[in-house]
Amino acid sequence: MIVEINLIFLEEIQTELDEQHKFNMIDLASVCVVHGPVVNRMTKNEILPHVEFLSFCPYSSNLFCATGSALFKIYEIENQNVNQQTIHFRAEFYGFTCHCWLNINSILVKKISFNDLEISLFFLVAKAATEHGHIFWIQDGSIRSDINLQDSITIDLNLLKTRPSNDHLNQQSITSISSLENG
Amino acid sequence: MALLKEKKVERFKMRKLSLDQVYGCSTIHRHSIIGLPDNRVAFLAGSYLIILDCLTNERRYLSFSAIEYLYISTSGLLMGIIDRFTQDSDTRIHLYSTKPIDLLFIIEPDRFGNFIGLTINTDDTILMILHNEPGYMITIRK
Repeated sequence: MIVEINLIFLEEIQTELDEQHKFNMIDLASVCVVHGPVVNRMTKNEILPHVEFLSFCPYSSNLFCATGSALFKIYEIENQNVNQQTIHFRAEFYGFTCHCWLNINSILVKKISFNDLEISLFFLVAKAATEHGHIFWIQDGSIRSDINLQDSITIDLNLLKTRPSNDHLNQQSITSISSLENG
Repeated sequence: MALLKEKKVERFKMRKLSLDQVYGCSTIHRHSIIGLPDNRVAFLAGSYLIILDCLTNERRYLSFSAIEYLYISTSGLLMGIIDRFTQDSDTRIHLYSTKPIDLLFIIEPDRFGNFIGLTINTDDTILMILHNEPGYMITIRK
């Protein structure tokens, strides 16, 4: 009988709050991303946006994006100033859960619709989830493409019928998205 | 966490993964596992952050109070950890270098409340912190 023994080296490092480890970073700027509730004109609902995901653009170290519920903003850092870039769509219609950068000025985000009309349409077609995963391709602040994952996901309708109605609201939602290094 | 080893299957001319080892990993929070340079991974196990060398199986343990967020910079050289150290959800950020693992900075809570997210730009020159009060503030530090 051959027993394979892996050598494990354990080394515990206690993190000491040493005064020397406290550092002096330069505060460049502070940005208040959310300025209060917004109203979705389609549903007449008031939504308080919040940031769910934040990332720097890998192709430009001064460009960053903040997405969240009813929120999509791109900022550019110039010296001590943070300038908001123009977005040519209404972010309050959507709940963005995550995003990833594809190329310069291209960004791929996933959204859940707040639009009642769209939800009704999904009910008629899929007879399943009320909130569906979409993937947006956004370039230069405009939506270039909207990929509906409803078409590519198979739902077990019998399974959904046996579940309480609220359990399958997020059946098709995506929680993470990533781009390949080779594009 | 399962460590998978890649095997090449000549018959089908495709690669397959086989289970090699299994480790305990806390997954209550998102961002609980990150890849480090030089075939290493860092993952949460309770209040410890375990840094595992996948080739030699060497492990290093970093002790914290309650890690809420784990981040690796795009360059792979910096690792950020948001640690909740009081019952009142006060958080601080620990910034480590990854080669070697060494504590660089600790950022204490400031005027904008607790930290809930951080990101570092590709040049490792700008640190951006997401706060929960008031109304999701972002502070940018160089």
